Amino acid sequence: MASAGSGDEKAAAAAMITLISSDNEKFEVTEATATLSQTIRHMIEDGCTDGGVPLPNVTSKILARVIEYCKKHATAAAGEEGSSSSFSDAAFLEVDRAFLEELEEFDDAFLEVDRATLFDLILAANYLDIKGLLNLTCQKVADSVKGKTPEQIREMYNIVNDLTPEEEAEIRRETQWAFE
Amino acid sequence: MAELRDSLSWYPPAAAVASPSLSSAAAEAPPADGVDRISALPDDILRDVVSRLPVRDAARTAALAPRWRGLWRSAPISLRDADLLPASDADLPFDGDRARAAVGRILGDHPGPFRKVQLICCASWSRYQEIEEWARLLAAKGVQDLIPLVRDGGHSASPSMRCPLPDDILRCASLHRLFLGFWMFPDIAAAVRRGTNVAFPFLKELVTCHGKMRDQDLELMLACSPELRMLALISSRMPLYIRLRCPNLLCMILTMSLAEELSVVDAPRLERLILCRTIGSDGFPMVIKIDRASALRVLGYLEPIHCSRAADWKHCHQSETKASSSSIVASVKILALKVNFGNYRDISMLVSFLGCFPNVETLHIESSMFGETTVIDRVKFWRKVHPIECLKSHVKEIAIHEFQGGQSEFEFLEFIGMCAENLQLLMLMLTKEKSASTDELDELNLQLETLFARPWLWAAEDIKLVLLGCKRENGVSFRRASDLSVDDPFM
Repeated sequence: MASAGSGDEKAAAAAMITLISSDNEKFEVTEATATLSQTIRHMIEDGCTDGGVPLPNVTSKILARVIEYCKKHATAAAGEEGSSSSFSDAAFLEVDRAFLEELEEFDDAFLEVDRATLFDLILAANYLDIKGLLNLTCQKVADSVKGKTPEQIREMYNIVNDLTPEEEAEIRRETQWAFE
Repeated sequence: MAELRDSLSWYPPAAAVASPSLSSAAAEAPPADGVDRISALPDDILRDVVSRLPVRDAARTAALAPRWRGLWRSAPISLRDADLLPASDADLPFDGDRARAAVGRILGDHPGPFRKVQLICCASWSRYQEIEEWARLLAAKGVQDLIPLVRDGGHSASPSMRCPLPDDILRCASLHRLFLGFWMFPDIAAAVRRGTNVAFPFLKELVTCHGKMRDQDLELMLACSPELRMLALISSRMPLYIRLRCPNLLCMILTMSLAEELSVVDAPRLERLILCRTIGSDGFPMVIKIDRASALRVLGYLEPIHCSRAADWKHCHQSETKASSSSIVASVKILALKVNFGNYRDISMLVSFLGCFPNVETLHIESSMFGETTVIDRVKFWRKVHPIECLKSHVKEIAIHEFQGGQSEFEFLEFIGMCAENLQLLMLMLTKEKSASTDELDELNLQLETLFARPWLWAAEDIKLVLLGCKRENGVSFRRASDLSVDDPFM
């Protein structure tokens, strides 16, 4: 995670973008990494990234994680594009498979975060429009409520039940099949 | 039924069945600070989360709080009947009554849209009225991805093979994908006469598996689906005459078909035509005609043994006939064939086929044992073959699948060695039996070494030889065949 001031002149040869977190920390990333975010991609296309991209909704802690995700997945995307389409690569299919597995492992490990961080990542992925990250994190939340009763979900997420008993009874009647 | 599993697996698998006993699922400890972070997420994201859940779990979120009730009702739903079966039923005799009742409730109560509806385990022919009602609701509520299968439809005598799906299926104009299993397709012309407006402006993928679709219904269906990208007819007794007029079709898959003729009348974007065990009907081979398919890049498996009796087979003339200019398909780059190298008719057809595809760069040949070995002087046969354009100038890669190391196969290797001037890679994929025996492998290696030790036999320099053990199922995987990002589905 190269922060500004590290003065990595060589890296500047590749198009670099500076992202600025809400707490004013600067992150320098390659364009390939940054453009996993559709929001940033559009800013680059519109030529408004000189002087850095301020991201007032994302803290440095979360931005660092988001960049970590984008770096990994940008490499993966480059690998896919670079792979020759010829079947002579059959022998290397195994390598591709191993790489995909590694990516999955990365994603799994990436999601090993506390719930506050998970929700911050969702909001950041939504704001930055990073489809893969949004899918990943929303799926994690979905998985966490699978097979649970409403009471258990409320307890897990501190959701206040402000349904009247009548309303709740009505909902349970409407979707009785879901509670059998 | 393997091909049904294969083709169904093309769809994302049904989510794991929700745990049967809700109270047994241990809730994770809440964060100590007591903050409700999930409710801070915007509606769109929470709707996305609800949409990802198996339908029972999704519906239960409605009881969390008033806001969630609205989210459940406005979230696009994925309805899989398999999700409605209690997990504990897995070992018990099947009883889909509850699941059926729930499907009816959901389709009736939820305003939609239904992103995906998979009815693969509880639809029953014996309750046709129920199926009619579901079809009506599906049409009314906008379903994008529909897989209706009937449980009791597997047999040829099954009523679903005689009585078609309800007309209302034709009203599902929002469909993007339609996968029909064990159904007869409705009579479109009759439905139109009855006032059904048939149009599928968004339909991109149409698959029938163990289904029946009359020739004219396929033609009408294609005409009503201008955006169709993928058409697959799997193990379907009908149609018998397949005529493709599809402006946007990219991929056509035909497996285990009894069709008598496949005619690509006009498919300007068609990139791949995948045929697998197309046996024709009553012993008559399937005729393939390719008129307008200028983008056709991937073709196979052509099976000479099955096509050789067709009088008007445009691309595969009688063995003595050379390819005529009308039968040339210049766009094909990847060609797959099934050949018994020991059979005279097969190798004659092979030569004839290759002449029809002058620009092939990758050649797959599945070495088949089908048909008898003809007693002829094959060495002489191969010596007398006229130069073949694609072999001489374009073929870079040849893969021989199910290689057994037989003499007839080695004769062919010598033949391509002598004429394939641009060959870079020769791949031999062994049969299961062959790759299992160390002795046979040693012998094969020795034979190949001998072959390669004679450089004068090889027209090209630096050919890479790869010997692989049996690594795939027979035939082409449906997933790879339909995935256009896979460059070579035969690999």
